[in-house]
Amino acid sequence: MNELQELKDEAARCAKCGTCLLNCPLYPETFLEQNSSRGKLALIESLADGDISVSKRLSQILSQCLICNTCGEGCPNQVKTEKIFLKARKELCAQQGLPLPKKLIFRYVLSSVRFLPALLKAGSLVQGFLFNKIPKYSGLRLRFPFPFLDKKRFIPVLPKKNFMELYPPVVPAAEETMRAAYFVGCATKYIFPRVGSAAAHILNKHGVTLTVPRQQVCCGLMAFGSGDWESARKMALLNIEAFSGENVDHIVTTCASCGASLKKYYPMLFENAGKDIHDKVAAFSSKIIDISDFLINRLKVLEQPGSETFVPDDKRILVTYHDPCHLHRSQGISKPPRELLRSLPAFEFVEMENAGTCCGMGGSFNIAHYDLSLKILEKKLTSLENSQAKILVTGCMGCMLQFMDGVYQKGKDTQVMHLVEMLDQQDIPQN
Amino acid sequence: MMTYNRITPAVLQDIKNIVQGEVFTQTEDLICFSYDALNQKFLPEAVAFATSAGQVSELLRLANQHLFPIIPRGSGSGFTGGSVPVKGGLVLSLTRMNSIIAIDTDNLVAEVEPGVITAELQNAVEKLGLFYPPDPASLKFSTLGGNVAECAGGPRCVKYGVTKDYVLGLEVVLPNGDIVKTGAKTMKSVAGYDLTSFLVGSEGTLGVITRIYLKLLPLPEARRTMQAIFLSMDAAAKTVSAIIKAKIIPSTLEFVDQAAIRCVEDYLQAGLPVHAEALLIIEVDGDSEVVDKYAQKIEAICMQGGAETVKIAQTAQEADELWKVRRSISASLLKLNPHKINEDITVPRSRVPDIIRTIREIANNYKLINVNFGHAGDGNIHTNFMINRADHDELERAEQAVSEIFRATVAYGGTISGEHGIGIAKAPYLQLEVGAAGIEVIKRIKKAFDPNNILNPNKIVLE
Repeated sequence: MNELQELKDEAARCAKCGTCLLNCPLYPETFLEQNSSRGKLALIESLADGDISVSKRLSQILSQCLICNTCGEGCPNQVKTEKIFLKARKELCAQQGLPLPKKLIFRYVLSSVRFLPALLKAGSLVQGFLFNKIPKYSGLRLRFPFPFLDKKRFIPVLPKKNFMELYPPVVPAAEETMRAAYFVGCATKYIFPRVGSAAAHILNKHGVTLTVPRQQVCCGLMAFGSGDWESARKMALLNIEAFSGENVDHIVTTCASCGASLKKYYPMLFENAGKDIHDKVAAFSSKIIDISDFLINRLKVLEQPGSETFVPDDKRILVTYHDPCHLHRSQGISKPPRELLRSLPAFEFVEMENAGTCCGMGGSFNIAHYDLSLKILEKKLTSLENSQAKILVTGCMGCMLQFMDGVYQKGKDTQVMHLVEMLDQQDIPQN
Repeated sequence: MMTYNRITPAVLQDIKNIVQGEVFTQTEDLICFSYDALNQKFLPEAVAFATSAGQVSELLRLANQHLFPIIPRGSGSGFTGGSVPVKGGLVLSLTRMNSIIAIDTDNLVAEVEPGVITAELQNAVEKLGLFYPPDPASLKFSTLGGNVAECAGGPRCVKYGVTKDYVLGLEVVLPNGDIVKTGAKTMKSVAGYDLTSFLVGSEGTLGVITRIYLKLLPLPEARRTMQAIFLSMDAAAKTVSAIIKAKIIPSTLEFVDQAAIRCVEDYLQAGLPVHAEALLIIEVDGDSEVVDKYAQKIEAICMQGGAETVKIAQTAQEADELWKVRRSISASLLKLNPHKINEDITVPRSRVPDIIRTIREIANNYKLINVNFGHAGDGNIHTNFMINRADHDELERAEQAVSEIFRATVAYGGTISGEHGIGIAKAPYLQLEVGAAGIEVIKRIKKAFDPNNILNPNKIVLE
């Protein structure tokens, strides 16, 4: 209860001015105060005051938030909304427990080095039975009704081999100038190993030998976001242990959400831990770096001389970029991906409207509130269409899946790609 | 004192049938509609969303029949408690009636539903080369219905006036459920009593606005922004009066006092003059040929008035940096104390130096941290006491200080609220300004419109 009181003190800094309403991607879709930050903050105050107690409705309301932190960033009173909501979910989870499927997934599946690959391997074998293929998007559609999944949803094909099967623990550069470790993340491992391949390829090319510790597991963000800090801590410690043998200064991520989890949320998970663990976590988190930041600010790839490839303007393909919340707001990275895209001679970078607004994915938000999630995405798709870009580039696996779903459901030809896939096609730089 | 009936399950079913949608009654949901920017909580009994004037009408008839209060609500961003359900009842949100029905470029009139966000209308008309000037600080999230009900102002008021100056006509559902149209889509109309004026600024106590006809202007071609720094507050305040006296009306004329300058500097590290007692941010707009001339004239007046420096922004980015100082005040003040008591008194413009001096004396007497900024150009001063509400002694001193400031304001011929309204926050002080007879006529008007007192009760005039 002490922690709840602390939360209340922070929540009480909210002056209920209303600035968060229209900054929120969710509120303008419903005009429900329950969907706004100030509404949730009012509820947290009431909970701490004992005016209400933990209830199903309260959990439901608190789950209707993308944790995109647009409200926190724009708050005139600098209320730390993201932190407050995450901690409130933890309180609720502690008092109420998790729904069984979530509990099983967080406690036993995501934290397992063996079980998850086996499960997904089985999935890749039966997917042909469960789903219809939609070749244009190299995706799938459900054949039968399935719990938690909407029938119209786009589901990516699971590749036969995951990233860990494709790559050895050390991926050497021909002319090594640096070693770095790679945190692969679930989506890259099992759904988009091509993103990991592209990352490895680019880094190798720039003299970086990549090490890929075998024992790494899920980053834990889903569990953390659902309030299950216990599972999240378990995964965090497994990951810190997995990378402890690597003698590197940098641990590279290609997924914004994993990056935010490792860099920003791990310290939050252990803020009350003893000094030993605290220091260990801090040391680990300080090594985490998004690949765009790594390429621009560590390897300084754009400062290296390269051969010029001239492509006439009318042949250049329009590409635009979506800022993942977990990169832009959580890690403060918005320039490096754009600089990299601008350096590609065969492409012309255009900024789309509201590039920094959340796409509506929000991890499990997309599963629990699918229709709302799509409504939020709708605005992004309109901006994307207005930009006339042929390719949407981003740096987060969640955003990629979300945009793929949207583009597929609209029957569009726009491609959705990860930044490193673009760079790998093109190589950098030719200035 | 009026007594109301609780909303029974049967009445609740009637409400559901009328709005044909969700009606919230669980405590968790009600809490989320219990406050506005005054930040005081009063629980409603139910919350519903209306999507047509017809629904609003049926709900008001139902409320008269069963005697429960209805409280219209927009974005709930008002500062005086205008949209909180002090007597319980049904909170009726108009936020989903949010269509811009028409922008008539032949007649320069916009027709909107009450839930349209102010900035959305402004963006829409500006794309057509038109201009809707009222610019309350909340414009990115407040609704036009709320703006009209509160008669919202803003920095541009000094040149362009406030919301009431743009409302040509309304569609309103009266408390008895009748739907009436007031005013006309014309620039002139004197047919009958000016009911539009009754309703603008009535804080949702006389009717529920369901459609608004707004006057638009041509969008000014150009603007120039400048910043003048003064070593003495008195000189700055006198310069404000001098600018007005020189018959140049800037589009905005904002001032920031030393306490605010220092807080913002701590916050932004923008190299602001912390030694200065006041800073003016002035903007002029108009045709491109004249704005530079106006800017230079104002620069000269500032220098004559004792400004240390005057800086005219050369680019849009420079202008934005000057505005950033003003925009960052609210956030930066919190380092002084966690809570803010914010009043929006307004005095005749020539009395700006007097009221500032008086406010500072009062703040000193009560040993309070006082910060002043605001729309000096129209005499609207935002005076803030930074307090900690947990410190009851401090809170009491602040309340006494506010009361004294109100008295001084009225003595200078000013008003206790320039743009925030009375609501519940200033209701105890209204008589100070309008007198007992004034209160009485307000009560009689309310009674004429709403004999059962079911629409937003216990606001403006306390029972």
